[in-house]
Amino acid sequence: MARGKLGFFLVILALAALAACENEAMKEVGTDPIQLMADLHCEAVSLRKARFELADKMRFMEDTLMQPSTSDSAKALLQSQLNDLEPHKDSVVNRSLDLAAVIKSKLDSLIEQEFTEVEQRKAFDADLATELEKRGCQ
Amino acid sequence: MKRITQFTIVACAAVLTLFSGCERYDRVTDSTETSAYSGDFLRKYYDLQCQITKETPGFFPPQAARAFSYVGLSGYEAVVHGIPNAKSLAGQLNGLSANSLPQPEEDKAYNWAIAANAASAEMMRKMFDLNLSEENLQKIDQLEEYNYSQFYAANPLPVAERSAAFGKAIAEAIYQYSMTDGGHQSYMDAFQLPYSPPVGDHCWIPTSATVHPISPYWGQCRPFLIQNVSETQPAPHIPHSADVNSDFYAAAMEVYEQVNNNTPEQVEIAKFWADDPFKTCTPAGHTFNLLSQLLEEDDATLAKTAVSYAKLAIAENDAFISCWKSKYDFVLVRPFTYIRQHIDPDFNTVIGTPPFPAYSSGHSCEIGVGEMVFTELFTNGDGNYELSDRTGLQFGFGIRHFSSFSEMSAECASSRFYGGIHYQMDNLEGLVTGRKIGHNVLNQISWPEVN
Repeated sequence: MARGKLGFFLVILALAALAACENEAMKEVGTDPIQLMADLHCEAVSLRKARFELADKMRFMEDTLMQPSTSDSAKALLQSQLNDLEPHKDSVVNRSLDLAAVIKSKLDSLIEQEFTEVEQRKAFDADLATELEKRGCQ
Repeated sequence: MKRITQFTIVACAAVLTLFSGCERYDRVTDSTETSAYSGDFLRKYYDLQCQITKETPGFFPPQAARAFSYVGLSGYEAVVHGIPNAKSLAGQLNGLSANSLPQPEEDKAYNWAIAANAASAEMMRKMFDLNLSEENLQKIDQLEEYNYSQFYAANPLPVAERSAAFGKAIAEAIYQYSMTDGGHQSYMDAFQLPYSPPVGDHCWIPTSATVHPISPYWGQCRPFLIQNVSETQPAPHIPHSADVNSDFYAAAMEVYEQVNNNTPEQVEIAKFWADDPFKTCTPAGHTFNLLSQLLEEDDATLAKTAVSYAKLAIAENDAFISCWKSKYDFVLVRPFTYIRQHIDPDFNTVIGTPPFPAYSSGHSCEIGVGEMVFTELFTNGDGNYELSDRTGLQFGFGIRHFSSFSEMSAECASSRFYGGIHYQMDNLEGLVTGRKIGHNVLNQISWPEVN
């Protein structure tokens, strides 16, 4: 009887272990990987556009600053505006890096746990591209 | 009773199987060949190195490539004795004499994964050293400890400790070697001042608020293979001329017209390969990320992973030395400057022009070596591979698809033309240089066959 209890206990333990593995996978990749990745990617696209727009704005201002024809007063104003953009730059960069870490982690989980075969990954790429196109975030 | 006993055994086996299924890494108990281990844990170091490169001051493309290279070398040398027929790089690389690296003790068991783990972590700490933030130091420590915890339990303690000590000794020896290459702690002085660029119509002048060009003396650093610099320098560029009928004017006009007629996809390509306007792990980092992706797709063993990183490491390091030598030998003016002076004073590029001379293109040199190394590692030699570059996905870029590694490198090189920051000759010559270096690294060093 004692052995029977032990066997029962071990079966329960086995099921718990299995559930733990599954829960971990679910927590990592979410219930719908395409939707989850599309959500995250759209946010990343938005941040990328913000970074490039800000970078363009800053380099065009720097460019004007370098022009000999720019007056001293205009230079002072531009420099002040450039300085004001620095905290904004730090903010958008940090948000981008934080989001990138989340996406990388999710992507690694998906590849390790769900899309282990090359064909599965290709299908994932195609499905994600379709979803992103549907949402208009590219 | 017998049925209960059998049931208990089966249940125990199920528990053990399920728990072992949750484990991420192999466990090997002695000096098993390196091909018996998964290379997954080693890839994590390159992910982390990319992140640290972005966050650490002073890591411009040459410095970043150098840091990746010594981590790659350390990982390889830590496992080389576990790869059948493999030769140490000591005695094969410029300035690294034969038998100059620590040897494993005879008749003693080693866990090569533990050795590679210790060597990679130690070298990464050393490469970023003075500028490494406390937070990033902790990330390296944590990754090392996590990997160690995955491997050590199945080994007798002396084996685990001996293996870790061997890995660290390898890292220390290679670090000593690195200190004499001309790039030691160069992140503390990336502009290598004082430097006075030559003056002339053809000469580079600042194109942004960064008035000093990056690392003007980098071409004097010691390459891993001497011929990677001495035999890969590009022919002189098209002679500079302001004459509207000259070839040089035509080359600049070509850039001007391309920028003004870029398709949306070409703009996307320019930005994709530039990675980011603020923080990147540099073009070499992008290519190391690609290698990591390819190794993951290949389900590569530790042997293949270590060899692959070492090949790319040596080639990338030398690509930046060779390319930087040509940049500062020719000191060629950027299209941005020339076009504003001679074609259109209001010209602007698609992406920012990096602060160093044009000829040849760093991106093109470094992706040229990537093309060669990837072709050798992942194809039968024809370079055909269905590649989906998803390395930019996390930063809001789409996935770019290529059917061969030459298609990948050609697009990377062209991206600098679409961006308006390079003449086509910079990109074409850069690719040639990179391919020569890749060829040298693959053929002039004795590498083991790994699967």
